[in-house]
Amino acid sequence: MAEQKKLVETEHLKTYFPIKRKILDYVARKPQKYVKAVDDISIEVYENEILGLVGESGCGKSTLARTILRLNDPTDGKIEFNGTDITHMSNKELKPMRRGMQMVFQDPYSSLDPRVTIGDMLKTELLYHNLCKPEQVHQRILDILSEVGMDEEAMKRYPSEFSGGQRQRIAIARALAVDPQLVIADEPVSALDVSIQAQILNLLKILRKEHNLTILFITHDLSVVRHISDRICVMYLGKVVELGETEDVFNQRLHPYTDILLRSAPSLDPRNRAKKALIEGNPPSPIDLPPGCRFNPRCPYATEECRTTEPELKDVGNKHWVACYHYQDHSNVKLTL
Amino acid sequence: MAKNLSAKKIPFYKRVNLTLWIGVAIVAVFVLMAIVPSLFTHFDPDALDPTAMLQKPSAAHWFGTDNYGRDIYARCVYATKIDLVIGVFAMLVPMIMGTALGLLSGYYGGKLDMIIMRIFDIFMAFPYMVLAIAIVAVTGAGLKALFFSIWLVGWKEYTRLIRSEVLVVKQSEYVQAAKVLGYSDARIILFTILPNVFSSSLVYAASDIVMCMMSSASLSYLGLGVQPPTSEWGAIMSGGKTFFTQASWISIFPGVFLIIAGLGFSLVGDGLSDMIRTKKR
Amino acid sequence: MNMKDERNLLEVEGLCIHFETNGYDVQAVQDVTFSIKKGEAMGFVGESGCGKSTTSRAIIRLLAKNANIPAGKIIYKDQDVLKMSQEELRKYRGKEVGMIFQEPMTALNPVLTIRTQMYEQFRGKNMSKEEKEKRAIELLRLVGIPSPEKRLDEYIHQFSGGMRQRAMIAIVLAGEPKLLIADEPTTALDVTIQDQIIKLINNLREELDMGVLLITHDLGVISQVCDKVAVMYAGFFVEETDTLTLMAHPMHPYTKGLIDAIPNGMTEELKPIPGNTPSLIDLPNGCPFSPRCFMCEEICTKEIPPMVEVDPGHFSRCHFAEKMRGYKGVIELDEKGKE
Repeated sequence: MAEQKKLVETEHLKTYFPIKRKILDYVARKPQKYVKAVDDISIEVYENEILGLVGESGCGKSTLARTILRLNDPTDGKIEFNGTDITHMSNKELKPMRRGMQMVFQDPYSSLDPRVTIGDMLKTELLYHNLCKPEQVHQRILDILSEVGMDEEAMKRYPSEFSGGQRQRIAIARALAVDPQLVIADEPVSALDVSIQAQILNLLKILRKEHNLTILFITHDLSVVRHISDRICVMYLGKVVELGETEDVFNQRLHPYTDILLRSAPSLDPRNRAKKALIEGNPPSPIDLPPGCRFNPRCPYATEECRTTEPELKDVGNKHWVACYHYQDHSNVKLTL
Repeated sequence: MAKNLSAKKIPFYKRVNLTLWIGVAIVAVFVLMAIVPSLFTHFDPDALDPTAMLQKPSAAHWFGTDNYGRDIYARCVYATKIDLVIGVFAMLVPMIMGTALGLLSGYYGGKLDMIIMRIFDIFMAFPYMVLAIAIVAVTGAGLKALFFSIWLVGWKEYTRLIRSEVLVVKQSEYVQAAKVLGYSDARIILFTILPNVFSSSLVYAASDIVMCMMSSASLSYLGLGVQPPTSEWGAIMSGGKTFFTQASWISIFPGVFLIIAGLGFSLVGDGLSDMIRTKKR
Repeated sequence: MNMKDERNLLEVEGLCIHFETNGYDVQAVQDVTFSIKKGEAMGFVGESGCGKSTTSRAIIRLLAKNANIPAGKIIYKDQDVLKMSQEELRKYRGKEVGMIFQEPMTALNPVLTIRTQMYEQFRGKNMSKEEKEKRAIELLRLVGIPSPEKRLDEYIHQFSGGMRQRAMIAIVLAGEPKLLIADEPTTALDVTIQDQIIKLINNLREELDMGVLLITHDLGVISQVCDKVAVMYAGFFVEETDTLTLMAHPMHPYTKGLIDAIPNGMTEELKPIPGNTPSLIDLPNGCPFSPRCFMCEEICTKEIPPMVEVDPGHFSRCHFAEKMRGYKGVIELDEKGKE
């Protein structure tokens, strides 16, 4: 396989959110506490791939995406987009780069400006970035809309006149209009009905091919991510626990968390009902993290080593990375159901 | 069971926004009165008539006459223009200023927000009338004093209102999308955030006009605002205070006009806020 | 078979619910008929706007002011729910039928402790203070909340996502309802927490012999909880049968479409249902699913299909239900249909 070009690269990226301190804490000289939303993440996103970013709420996947887009400021580490270091660029410097990285948001009901017609929204984008001459704007808008399956009618309407699925198509059109290289899709289908989800997922696959897009697809739904991603990155409490080609991750499930996550999805077969849940309790608070591997309090295979030192993310062959001391032997230990 | 499934439309008369339309009707009457006062009365408000002084309300003089023989009804009608103009102008400047400060404060946060909020707190500390009297001491009584005092006090509410709305709207995904698209802050504030928060300003402005009219009437009543012989409702009421026991009608009727005008604008404000609330869903 | 089943907890017949909205009189639920026995779990599955939540709220008489019920019956243990007085409703809600919602933060009172809210459920029962506390702690333990003695005096915001759902379930259980209505209880939860709540509901149903009406858009959750399921579309029941049969042999094109659209990692291509869910203000003539149906013929656009029993206990609202017989669902049964 030829060496693929990296579009996005993060190096030891950290995004910490400080917790508001009370005056008494300040006086008592208590240390500043942080929510370590993204804690030392180094990943690469290759051109033209769809990388799935999976994890439950609080794992930091959305924060990671927002940090890459510079909607949040990183606390430490480096972000490179297309070879350029954008970690500390100011808003002004970022402006020309912004075109290259766009986002599709989760909630179709709040991601479109309710006061602007679809046509006006697209027109503003095209003209602001000088993407085409004023005479060509109308035709260009029609082209973009037809690519996402909407017709000329949509131009004069307001977002409130459309359904959830249609609004997501419009949101995709908005991202596509500036001809980006990277599109970050943050839970784009989570708020949609199942029959519409499928439409949007198929659309994204087609657009990726036609526009040579790179897509960072964030979701908590594993079945969805399996359908659309080339590679999968599993996150837990601010860290990457497993990363690899989609089928490798789904079949091998080297990290115990990945395994449990995949098996927790409710089976469609009513004959297949277990009495006990696969995992108990909640993830610990991201403010007071346990020492050692973050998953150790809930991990059925945790040993002393796991409780003291955090495992590093290692390449265990075939571009499959995992951060676990027991990735090899856990497959021999059966989880009792 | 081959029925038609589409929903039936509820008849128009059940749906109409009564509050809004009654308010608009009242305001429209007053606006007409301001523009074409001669439609409403044939008397000259400044005409002195020594033969008809302090007369009770009658068929000839609907609101009676004052101590100079001037027809009160005519004075009220001609005063409408000044009162409406004062009301609107006094509201306009604070609305623009307050909205701008609220936008900047809410959007940028941080130090700018803190400074603006502290200035806000300082102004909050002064009771309105005290401030007004202080200003009159500086500028002397008259229209200038009236406007300055209302402007200096009026901007606070808009700032507070807009700032909190901006804080909410700022979190919306469409604002984040605008940032991701690379739009400048100025563009985001003016074209994305402002249109989405402006309706609150507008609704508040409707009742603010009422408050401005009341303030102007109060200040004129105290002799600090509009000076005689200009007809202005508050000034008319002030002129009648010495004769209150014999000719109460001089003070009462302008007050009634004030109340009805105020009611009209309030209804418009309420109606607008109802309409916006149901539309937002 | 017109035998009156003594164990029927809830019987709903021909229920129709209308809403006044946006200047229109909208038919949100049309001709819904079903029953739930003691200890039985029924599911309503459908997409947004299909009427599943509305129907469930009608059962507990929680509809908004702009709703009215022009036709239909809701009978709970021989009592006509629609005719209940305020006094009877108070005895009915909470004590006979309980409801849990999607968002515990908005469904529970944020300024009252768990203890207070639970004790509210004990009113009308002659219990001493010690008995109430003992029972409350027992319930918290039953739903799997650790250190229940300490958590009794906490507020809902001090609980995390999954724990909040458990707390809400505990509070509802305090009323000892015979029927639990769960409206999208796991939709907002992470998948591992969802798994826990599903198992909890199943275990509680067994221990307390409680009936369950589960409303969700997730067929996976239905499979894991419900004995029988009704599929809803645009206010109608379009298919009703036991869960296993629905997953193995759906007899309605919409059900089939839903099943095919689920990404299940087994097929390469996702098959979405073309088009969009219709707006209730502008429903098509005849069968509401007709514009999106691959089997649509002329009669479908003229006449609403009646609900017909295509197999014992299996109902479908489709003029051409029989044509669905060859289609496979998402699971395989062997020739004898053995489990």
